[in-house]
Amino acid sequence: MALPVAGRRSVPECDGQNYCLNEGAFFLIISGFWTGLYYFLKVYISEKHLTFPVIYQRKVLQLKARILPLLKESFALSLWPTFYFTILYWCWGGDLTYNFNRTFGILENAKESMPSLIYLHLWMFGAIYYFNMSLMRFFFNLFLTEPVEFPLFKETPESLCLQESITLQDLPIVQSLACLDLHSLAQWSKSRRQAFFSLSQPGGHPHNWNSLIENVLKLLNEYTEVLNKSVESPELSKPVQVPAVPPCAIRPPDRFRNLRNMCLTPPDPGTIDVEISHSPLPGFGLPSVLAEKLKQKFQAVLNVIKMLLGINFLFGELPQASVQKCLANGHIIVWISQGVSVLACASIAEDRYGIVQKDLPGIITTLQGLDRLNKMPALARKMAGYDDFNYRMKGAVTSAVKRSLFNLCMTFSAYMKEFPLGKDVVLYLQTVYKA
Amino acid sequence: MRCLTDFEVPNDGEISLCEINGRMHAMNYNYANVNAFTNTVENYPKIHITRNLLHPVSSGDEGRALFLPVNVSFLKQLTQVYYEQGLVGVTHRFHPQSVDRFERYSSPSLINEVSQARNWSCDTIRCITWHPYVPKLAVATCDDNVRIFSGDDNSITPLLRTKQQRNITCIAWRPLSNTELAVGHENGIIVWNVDPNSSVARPSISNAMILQRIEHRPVVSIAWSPKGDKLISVAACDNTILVWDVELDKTSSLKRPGGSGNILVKWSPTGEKLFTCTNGLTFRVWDCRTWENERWSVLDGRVQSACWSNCGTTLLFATNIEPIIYGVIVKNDLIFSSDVETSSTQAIPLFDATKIDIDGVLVGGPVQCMESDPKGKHLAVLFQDTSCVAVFNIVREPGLQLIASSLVTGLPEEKSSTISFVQKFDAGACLTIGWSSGRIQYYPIVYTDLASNSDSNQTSNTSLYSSFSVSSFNK
Repeated sequence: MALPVAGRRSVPECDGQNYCLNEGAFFLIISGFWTGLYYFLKVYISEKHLTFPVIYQRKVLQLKARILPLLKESFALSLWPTFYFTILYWCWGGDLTYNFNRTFGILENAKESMPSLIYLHLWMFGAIYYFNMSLMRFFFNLFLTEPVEFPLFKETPESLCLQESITLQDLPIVQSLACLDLHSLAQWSKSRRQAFFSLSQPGGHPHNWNSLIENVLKLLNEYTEVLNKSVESPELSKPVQVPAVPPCAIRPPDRFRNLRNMCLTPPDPGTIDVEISHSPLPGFGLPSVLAEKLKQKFQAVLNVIKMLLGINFLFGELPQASVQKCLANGHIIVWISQGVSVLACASIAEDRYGIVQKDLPGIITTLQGLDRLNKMPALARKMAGYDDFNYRMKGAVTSAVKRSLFNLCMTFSAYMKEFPLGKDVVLYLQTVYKA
Repeated sequence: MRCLTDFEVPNDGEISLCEINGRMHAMNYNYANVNAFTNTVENYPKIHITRNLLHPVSSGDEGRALFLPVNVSFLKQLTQVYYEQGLVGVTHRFHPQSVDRFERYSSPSLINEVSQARNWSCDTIRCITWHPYVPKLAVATCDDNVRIFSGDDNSITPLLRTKQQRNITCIAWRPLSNTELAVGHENGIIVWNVDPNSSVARPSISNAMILQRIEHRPVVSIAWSPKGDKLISVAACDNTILVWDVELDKTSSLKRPGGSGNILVKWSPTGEKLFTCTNGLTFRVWDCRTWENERWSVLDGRVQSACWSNCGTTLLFATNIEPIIYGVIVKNDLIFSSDVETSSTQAIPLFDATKIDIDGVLVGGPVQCMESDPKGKHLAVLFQDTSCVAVFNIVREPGLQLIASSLVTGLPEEKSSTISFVQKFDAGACLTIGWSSGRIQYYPIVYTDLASNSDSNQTSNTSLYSSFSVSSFNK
């Protein structure tokens, strides 16, 4: 960037000496390094996630809307590195030029001083650099966040379909796009919704819906579990609690997915689940139990040591970090919960086979579980403040989940009593929805 | 084209109270009681906001009245003006005429011009909105407060008030939520969270979300998406339409040439279409899936008011100059639900509302505000310079038509300021009118078989309703 300037003044008058340093050019070139480094540290490393626009418009329109603000932002933001560089150069610039001259054997040029306009140049170059970089990020964002219609059936074994992509955590962008697609298909496309409310041939099983709801519930449950963990982790001695799933919530193992529960009643209290356990042979049992106990003790001691010495703090995963990770992915939950609830509500008119019915209590219970987010002490307003992203994302997730539950309650209000729901879930629903 | 002569006015000294099975009932205003005819609005709150219920508005200028002007040097004057009014004030001091062009607006007078409420700046009631699911009514008054009334007599009336909330222009309940209310005001939007269970009479601003953008002022109209996830706002001095993600305080902007500001936004009840109109000749109908738009323009003036039918395919509108109500059939892109293939190429004039004198009562003139009921059977129209509210029946078969139904008159000195329909009313439709005296009147339009039907069966049978009403209108 500094080259044209350097080129124009590459042969200054240096008292007949052959080579001497043009300090202005040197200053600008060094500033280029500095701006790059500064941007890398300040922006590139810290701001990694893609932001989805509230509504997706044509790319040209988005570019048109964004380009001037970007330019303005660049000029504002590049003021700081310019300012810092000026100060740094003022402090250590002398040493720097001296060392440079010595290394390359260039003669000292005492006469020439830097023109005052050079600071303006410095700022402009910084701004152009910022503008370029942010434009690149903007394009990256623009093209990656373009909504994609996922296929609802697997065409080849390698191809991705919507149901699978939802839980694809290794490819966050694919996951996000899949969730967005679910959200928009639930709302807009009756023909695509129909794919979920139909039975596959041959066999007459609702495979599409089953795989979808399985993945959705899996994603939501995993999310709730991470939240649970981060709430509990300060006390290591406490046993990990299984997220409270009421006994009657229907989460059958996958192989029973295709069976429909026609009556939708809680399990008959008359039948007793008999647990058959094979008691181990007494001779071999004892040492293994002992070993297990020793192992546990050792683990506990290790944990205490880790905690005391701050090893956990330095190398382990902080509970706060996992919450933050969760919240960074909050938009996924927002789309998924709304998508699934709109889909379920559409089923009341469009689902001819009653496919969705059996999963409704499961959906409601799982959504209610996300309320855990409200119990995060770290996310109370006092701790977080108004402008905190985490706090706002928490609000977005809870509000979306509440609206989804409200929608379900309103659509199925006449049948709500028939659903086998846990007591706390019903209580929670009553706070959300009062008819 | 039909005209206002089809209407009948109530006898002298009587006010219209309700319409039962297509027949209007009126009574002398000294002992008027709508409950004598129907019990459908018995539980609704009785509201009369008199002037002494209003809280004084602080304009921030009270201190100035205490001081006398003195002569100081010009430079000193300038410094003082700069501190008080900023750079614009200083330039104004130098050259008063030149600044008026740059000064963007004087807010209240501009809002008064484009507002849906009649006589916005003076009348007590500025805006009323019913909650979509429960009988709860939010009323914005000229003292910059919003009061929330619910049918239960014992419950408290929350008062939403804060310093930031100046010159309220519009309010909207959030769909799929019990508690959230968005209030559009001069400088932005405040989304209040009013917990119906709490016993706090003045909810604090800390539970509210404040949304504002510097160049997006004054917000004159807002609309929630029917799923409650997006909020759209338009401002009279900004030609950008903002789509908000409320919780994240994030916006996307819709910007198209034409006009220097927007004055009205209405989301179609199905959520597929969005109507916006500029303060110039153009108005647009957006498709909410792709956010592309159809551009329409009126011949003269600007669109003053508009409303959607319940199916989201018909748009009724009126301009601020001509006293004519137009209708537009809007194209529906979604393949399976479309009954109508293409948009109409031009708007159909439906009703001539030229001002006339019916039995000594002046009716009609340019339209101020129009609303259609949630079932899409009735249209209520508020006029700019006459005080009655006209209620029409909307008929779609064999073609879109408006048929005169009844005229709602108030007390002799009262003028209607704003109108709204109850969102959930099983027995038909219920128009709510805010009068200039601060009284709120319910005007139920009841069909007795529907009312009894809804009593016996909690979930009203909509198919029965539509077949019934079509036959009743066509006879």
